[in-house]
Parts: sequence; C-alpha cells; structure tokens
Amino acid sequence: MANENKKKKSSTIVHPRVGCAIGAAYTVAAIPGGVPIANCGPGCVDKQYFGLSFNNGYQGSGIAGGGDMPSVNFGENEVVFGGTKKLDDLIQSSLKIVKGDLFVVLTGCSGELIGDNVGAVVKKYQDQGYNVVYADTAGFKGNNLKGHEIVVEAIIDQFVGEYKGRKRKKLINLWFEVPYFNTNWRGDYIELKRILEGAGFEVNVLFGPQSKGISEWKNIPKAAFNLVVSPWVGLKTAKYLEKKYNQPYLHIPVIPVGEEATSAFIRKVVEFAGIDNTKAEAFIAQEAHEYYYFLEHFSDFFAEYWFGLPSRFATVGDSAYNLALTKFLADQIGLQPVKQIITDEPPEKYRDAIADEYHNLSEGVDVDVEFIEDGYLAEQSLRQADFGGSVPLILGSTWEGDVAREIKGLLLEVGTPVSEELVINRSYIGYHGALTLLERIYTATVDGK
Amino acid sequence: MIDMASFDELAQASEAAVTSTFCHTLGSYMATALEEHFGVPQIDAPQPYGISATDEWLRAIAKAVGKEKETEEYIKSEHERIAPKIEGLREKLKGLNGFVMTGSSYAHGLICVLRELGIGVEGSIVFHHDPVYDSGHENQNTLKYLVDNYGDIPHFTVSKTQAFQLPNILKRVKTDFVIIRHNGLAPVAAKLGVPSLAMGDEHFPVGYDGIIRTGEAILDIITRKKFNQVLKRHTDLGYTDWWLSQEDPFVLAHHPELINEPINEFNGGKYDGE
Repeated sequence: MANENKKKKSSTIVHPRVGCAIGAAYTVAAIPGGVPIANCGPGCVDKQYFGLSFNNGYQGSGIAGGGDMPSVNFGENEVVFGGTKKLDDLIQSSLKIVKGDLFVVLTGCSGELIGDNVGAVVKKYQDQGYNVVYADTAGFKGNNLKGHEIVVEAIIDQFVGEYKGRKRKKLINLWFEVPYFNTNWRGDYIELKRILEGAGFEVNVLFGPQSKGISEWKNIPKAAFNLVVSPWVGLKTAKYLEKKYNQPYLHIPVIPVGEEATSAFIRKVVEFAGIDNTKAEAFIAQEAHEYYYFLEHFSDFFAEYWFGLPSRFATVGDSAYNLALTKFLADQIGLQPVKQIITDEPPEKYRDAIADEYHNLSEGVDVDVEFIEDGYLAEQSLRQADFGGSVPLILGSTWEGDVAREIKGLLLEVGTPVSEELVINRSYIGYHGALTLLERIYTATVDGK
Repeated sequence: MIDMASFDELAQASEAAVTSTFCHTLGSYMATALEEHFGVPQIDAPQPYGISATDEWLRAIAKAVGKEKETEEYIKSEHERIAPKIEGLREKLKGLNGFVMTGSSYAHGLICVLRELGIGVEGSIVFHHDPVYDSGHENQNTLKYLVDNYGDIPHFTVSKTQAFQLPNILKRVKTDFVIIRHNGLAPVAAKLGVPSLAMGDEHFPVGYDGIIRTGEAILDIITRKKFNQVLKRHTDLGYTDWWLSQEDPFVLAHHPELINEPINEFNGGKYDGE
C-alpha cells in the first residue's frame, strides 16, 4: 500500500501534518532560556508558529516565540545583496534586548540558497563569549522533525562542546517527543521524567518546564547513556553522541502507555543502566496499585455500557504517537486497529522496523501500517477503513474532521494540527497519561455530541 | 466583495449602481478600479464608524440611488433605537481608556467608535499611514475625519511596532485594554496586565449596532482583567532590564550607537559590562 501510494504521489501535498525544518525554532523555544533567531522570511517562521503551536492545542510560545521571535525578515533586498549584515545587526540587538541564555540562529531556504556565510557571522559572537549557535534548517532539507535533529546537533556541537570527564551512573539524557510538534509534549515530558526519577534516575530532560535550561545541556556529556523513546526521531542524535562522548544509547521505539508497558519500560531501562532495582520495584508497586484502583472504577462504566462504544479504531499521525496509542488501545483496552497511517515521513531506513512493531502490538493483533504524508491520500485511505458495526474511533488531527463527520465517527485530536482541543499540561503516556486518554475517549462516547 | 463574494457576484460588480466601502485602506483600490473601468461611482463619504460618520455614509449612498426620504426615516428611527443602549454603555464604560493597534484607517474608525462610547484614547499604533487613497477623495482622509470630529490623539505612532517596543509604548499612556487586529502583540499586552480585544473582523464595529457590539465586547474583556493581573504578577516579559528601563520606545532608531554599548547585565551567557 505504501508503495502504491508512492507511485501516485505528486510533488505537492494538502492538509500537511508537519512543519518544515525551520519549525525547529520551536525546539529552541522549548529550552528554558533558549532564544531562536529566525534567519528567513517572516512568513516562513510565522507559519510554523501557527502549525506547531497555535493551531496545535493553542500551546502558546513562552518568551521568545510567536510574535516575539527576533527575525531577519529576509526579503528581496537580502536575497539580492546578501543577508549577513542584517543578521549581524539582529544578533547584536537581540543580545541587547531579549533576555536569554542561548541564542540559536536558524537559517531558512533563502539564506541557504544564496549561500550566506552565517557561520562566520555567528563565530564573531562565539569568540566574544556569547552563547550563539547557528543551524542550517532550510525547508528543502525536510520537515520539522529533521530540523529538530539538526538544531539539537548544532547546539551540542557548538555550545556543549568537548568533555573528557567522568560519567554519572544514574544520569540519563532523554531524547523523546519533538517539542510543540507533539501537542502533549509538555505533559508527556513531565510524566516520563517523573517515572524515570521514581525508578531512581536523574534525567536531563532538556526541554519544557522542568528543564534546568543550558546548565542541563552542558551536563549532556556527563550522562551514563542516552535514552531514545521514539520510533526514529532522536536516533541520529544518540548515534552522534555515542561517537562524540563515547556514550551508549538505549532505543525504546514504543512510548510506554498504561501500567504494563510502563512497568516493563522501567525494568528495561534499569537493566540497561545496571543500577539496583529496589527503588524502581517499589515505585512500580505503588504506581500499579494506584493505576488499577482507577482502572477498576472505570471498569464499571465499561461493563454497564456497550452501545455507542467503539471497538475498532484508526490512528493517523506521527510515528511516535501513532505507535504508542495503537499499542495501548490494542493491547490493554482490546480495541481492534483497522487503519494506521503514519504521516511524519520517517526516513526509509527506519520504516521496516516501525512496520514490524505493528505486527507485534499484542497477541492475535496485527495490522499493516501505511506511510502517507499527503493529507488527501491519507484521508482517502481512512475512508476505506472497515470499522464494522460499531462507532468508528479515529485518533488523528483536525484534518480528520471531515472523514469523521462523513462516517459518523468519534474523532480525538491527538496530533498536529489540533485546533479543536486546548492543551495545557495534558499527557497521554505513562501511568497517569493512560488514564487521561481513557477519560478523553470515553467522555467523547457519552457527551452526546 | 473582497473575501466574501461568489464568482457570480464578482461578475456583476461592474453593473452596480455605486461602490461603497467601510475601509478605505482595503476597499478603495477595487472601488477605484470599478469606477475607472466601468464607470461605477464611488460613494464619497467617511467610513461608517461612529454615529455621525454612519449617518453621512448612509446619506451619501441614499443620494446616489435616490432614496433620501427612506434613509432619513431610517436614520431617525435608528438614532431613537440605539440612544438608550449607547447611553447605558457610556455610563458603564465611564472613566475607561483604550489603546488601538491596527492598520491605519481601521484604527481611525475604531477610535471614533471608542470615543463615541465615551472611552478615552490617549494613544494608538497604526502599522502604516496612507494620507491619500486611490480615489483621492477628501473624505478618505480618515485621520483628518477622526481628529476634526473626535479630537487629537496625544500618542499616535505610525510604526510596524515590534513586540519588544510595546511595553515602552504602553508605559506612556493610561490604558485599560487594547484592541488589536494582527496577531503577535496581544500576548505581550496580556503579560503587561492589559486585556486585549482581538478584533480581526472589521465588520464588528461598523454602523450603529457596531458601536453597541464594541461597547459590550469591551465590558466582557474588562471583566477578565484579574487574569491579566495574575499574569503581570507572575510572568516575565523576557526583555533585558536595560531595554525595559528605556523611556523612548524608538530609542534605537534615534540612537543606533546604543546597540554597541555594554549593557551591564548577564545575557547570552555573558556579562557585558564593567
């Protein structure tokens, strides 16, 4: 199916579910004290704000995002005569006006195409001792997930720098959801950090409200290992760090959702780290106790109702959430996956491994995942899903709204873009998030809409 | 027409008796084209924001299509209908000050509406200024209409206005709320403790009912002010102390050399002072 779609694919897509590489401005904005400097057209980066933050759960942008991001506002003049002078002035005035610990210049298509030597401009500030970094994030390099990896690597390379000292046995670098792009990233980072700390680790969480900002980034080389909790994003970073700091990495492709998966996740990380498991087991016991307390109470509803509850579901979205939510609903709630479409364009080399995960969701459950980034084709494929006689459940984006209405389905907006949900600190992962996800799905079945 | 018309409506635009607009910035280009190419006359009137401008606008259209009598009756009945409502709003809005940040002629119209409601306007930012629009009609000088009919605006700024300039701009004026059209500045105002009315839809304040709609929306916005006070107490604007201490929001344009002087505080990982 994926190959068939590929043949039909034109050079344009509709209903996009990703930003372009310059969207990684929001990777920078997600670091406390991080200030992105947009070296591109003003419309380019404004679109990223609307795609990744505003019409994506109305996440806001903290201090240096949204309408408040320093920008070269690359225009005709810069394309013809070069944009480095304006960039130089902008860095200078940003350092003077915008409070920040780390300034990251992101160059978009126009700057890269005309070959501006951004590195030379930035080096002047680096030599003076300012924390200024540059990253080449032209949109033609790919989507915002690739931009995210480019920016992370640029910060490590130009800001974190060399390290030869000792490693700390319990310190982990967490490479997880892409900030802002995952609508629930803030809540999910908090939950995963809580889980890892509960198991006895210290975590360089790097992004979001619980990150210590640049001091944490400086600690990256001190970590015992890199933990990649994602099907593919972050693997490139982990491999880079393996080489740079001689740091091993543990790759867990499926974000844990629910007690069984989360407890298994903890045990895997503890075993990999080789630390004593006493604290982790006590934490698991307590969490499991609470989780099943709630699940037991929820089960009354589940037992007393049957009419209007979904039994088959589809997921349309990025590989990380698609895989995690499909696994949880299939393995723990007993819903049957009938159409799973991955829209974040994972590099070819990762696709087989991702597809294999969909053949190992749960005993007796098997589904062929499709890789489609064009909204038109994704929606066409979704229309063909066989939901049987029950209410179709779709976990997707706002773009799935039309199909959901056509087939009278329940749509839960879980990924970019999300314009009919407001997200503050929500999480759908781990112990706590799984219960929130159940609340959301089953509220939708009884709210009468 | 613009934004909303179907193909059929566009196709018959050249057959219209007259063209009227409530925004000279956005409407005058197409109106002038229809006049020049198809002889469709433009209504020469102020924009219909505020009571007297709406009266004049209606009268100009009436004159062009020969409906003076009906229009005078309509104006009279509308005045009677809205008078008690506007009086009630003026009572509730007494003592309030507002600040308007939009494109030029829309800002001028909005300020007319605010002052019609008895709201003080000490300052405004318009993102551009066009003293003459495509038709060249005197009535399209919306700023002149505003100043002649509703008085001067002490802190009137023509500027693209970057977000970082807003704290220093708002420092100069008394304001209880801002009205803004373009995204980006409202969140900064919100953190300064000032609630915002994001009025993207230009139809909202138009005509007699527009005055009432605007007044009622402002009452709603003001009600939520406590939330903005919480934000002001607990959030950071994200600008350096040096910048926030500047009195002149445009000091960098007046003294560009300042940008090269040390700022005596930690920023970007560096202490750049003595």
